[in-house]
Amino acid sequence: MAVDEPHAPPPESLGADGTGPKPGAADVPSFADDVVTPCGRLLSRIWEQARDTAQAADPHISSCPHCREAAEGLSAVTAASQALRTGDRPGLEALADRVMNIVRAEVRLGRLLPLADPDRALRIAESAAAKVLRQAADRVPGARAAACRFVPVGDGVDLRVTMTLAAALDRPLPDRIHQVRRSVLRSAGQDLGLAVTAVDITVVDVLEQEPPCRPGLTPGGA
Amino acid sequence: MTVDRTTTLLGTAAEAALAVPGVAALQPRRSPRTAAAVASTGTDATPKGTRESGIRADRSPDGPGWRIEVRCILSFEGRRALEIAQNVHDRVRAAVISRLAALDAVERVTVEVTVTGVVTRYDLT
Repeated sequence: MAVDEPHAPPPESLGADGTGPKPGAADVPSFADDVVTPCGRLLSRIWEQARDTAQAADPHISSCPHCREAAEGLSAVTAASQALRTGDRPGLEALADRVMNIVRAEVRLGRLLPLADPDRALRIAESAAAKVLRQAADRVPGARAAACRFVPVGDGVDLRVTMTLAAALDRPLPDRIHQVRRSVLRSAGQDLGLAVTAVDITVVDVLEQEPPCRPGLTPGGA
Repeated sequence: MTVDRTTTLLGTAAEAALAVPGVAALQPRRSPRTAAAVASTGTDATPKGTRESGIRADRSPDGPGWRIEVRCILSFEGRRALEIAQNVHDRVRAAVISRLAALDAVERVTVEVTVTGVVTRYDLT
């Protein structure tokens, strides 16, 4: 739903069908970051109505799904803040865990990177893109990717990748790095559709090679 | 009724996005997930929300029209993420315009697609 990030109210108030004044067209934001719901009501107004039962009920708010959802969400926040005041520890900790799980999940997404289509607004989370490119690096025998980051190049959709990895020393490192770079570039283009212009690779650790199996023995033991 | 139209757009956009081959799921936005987390009294550590909570529909900030944002998780074996996202963009836009037209509302629609996760064959082995 559309009540999470603050947006300035549209300069021209229109109904949801775009043809006339919307129900909350007369609303004036009471503060700079007040949120406008898709139906045109200010969140602050909805909250005022939800809290102040003495006010005359606005028929729009009671019938609009956006206003109702916003009011229900705010009621939940009110209930949670009451729980905070009464010191309900178990409930409080469970609530904090649930909210922090969501915050962590959002943070894990990382930055949003442009996919290679300048004509459409298409983006991919850095964490998702990095996962695919790390897998591409891991497909090279004797290489194991660690960190993978993206740096925008210019104002368009071009990106530069910086990757750290562990590599085995059974072959010259330049050859292996070259293979990893090729695999990452191929995956960025063919699997994702990112405009990666360069891949900077730093080997930060030595990958221990598993000893070759002797005939008749399994890798796990006798 | 006007407000029903707005709700309908969320469902229309969600349905169109989920019908695109390569889209595994819609990723609920932070706000509805947080609201669900606050409202929840159960033991579910991360309430998921509805499929519509992966869609955001706003009036365009720069004039009449709609801005639709889709957050999706892809399973893209054999397809590029870019092409799936393009497909989501075009199908959602067409579906929303068509739905608005059916409601006698011809409006500009812009769509933003964000890929928030991918499932690859290596995740399944």
